[in-house]
Amino acid sequence: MQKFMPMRAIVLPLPMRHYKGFASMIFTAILSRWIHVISACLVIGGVFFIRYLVPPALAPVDDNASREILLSLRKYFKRVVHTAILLLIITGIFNTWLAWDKYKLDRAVLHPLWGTHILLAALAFSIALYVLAGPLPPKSHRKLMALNFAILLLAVAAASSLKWARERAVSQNAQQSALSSDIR
Amino acid sequence: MNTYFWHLMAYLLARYLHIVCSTVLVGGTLFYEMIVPPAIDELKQEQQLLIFARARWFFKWLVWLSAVIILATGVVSTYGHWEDYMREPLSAVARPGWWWAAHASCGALALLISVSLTIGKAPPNQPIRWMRLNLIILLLVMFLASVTRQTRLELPTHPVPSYREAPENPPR
Repeated sequence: MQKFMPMRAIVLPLPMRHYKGFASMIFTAILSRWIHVISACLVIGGVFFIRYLVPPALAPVDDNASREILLSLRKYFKRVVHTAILLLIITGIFNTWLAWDKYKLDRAVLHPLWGTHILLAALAFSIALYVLAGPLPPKSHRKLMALNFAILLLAVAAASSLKWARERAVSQNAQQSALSSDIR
Repeated sequence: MNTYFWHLMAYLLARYLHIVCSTVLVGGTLFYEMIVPPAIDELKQEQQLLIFARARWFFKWLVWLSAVIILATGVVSTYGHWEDYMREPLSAVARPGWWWAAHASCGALALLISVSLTIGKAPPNQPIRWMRLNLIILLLVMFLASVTRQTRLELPTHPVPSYREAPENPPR
């Protein structure tokens, strides 16, 4: 009988816990998480910078030049956001696949948190894509960017709570397993 | 409301603020260093300097505030995980304490560079090169944070109170 290794369950889904390339799998998990966090940084920091720091910085420049600069910034920012969204989706799917077994440990808490995170992220992506689509921004781009920043912060809060709840569920599950084996 | 609830709230809030401030700092640095320069490339040099100076002034407050919050929340999170960091697994590479030390020291270095770049009225010589270096360090810091978390999760679980450890002659 194979020894139960609860901490392996944190990284790998059931079929892969005794996979020979365990170390490389851990490295992939770390890499995937790192790319996910960096992409989130690019989007959140970029949205904050372009919405709250750029407008006052452009105040001394005349209106036409200011508009040109904003459009130019938007063009470069669009490339960054599109790349970041693609990476967020790919690494998000991979991270979910890795942790899916753990989400089954406490469905009542983990599934709503995971769903909230995904919904907020999807909403934020949609707004970002809408605001950055086309050569000119929509009229309400300032309000939408501010709203998007708030949604992104909520998405981070959901992700943060989800991670804590997941670790707690795994830990409780491991303790219950150890306890029941002791009783036997 | 018991103590556990407040400890939990403090831990979750600290973790949340740590992540948010890090994202704003890293994303802002990247925006300031990689997106602003090409976007204002066609302007006259005086106008470019003026925009950079004003952006730097606003960015300064963001950096200082983020640095203070990151340090404070980092201390709270470290306190919460200290027992795990002090444990010694079979392999030294798998010891989360080492990775935490690397994360904390590189993070402190990155914050020091960020703050020193925004101190004073004029930026230091070659600010863009310093910002690029800082961005690389910040990315490394995030990688180390990711590894610290993974090695912490890889540790064997905490010892569970066992029925076998109950006293042989329990008091009547």
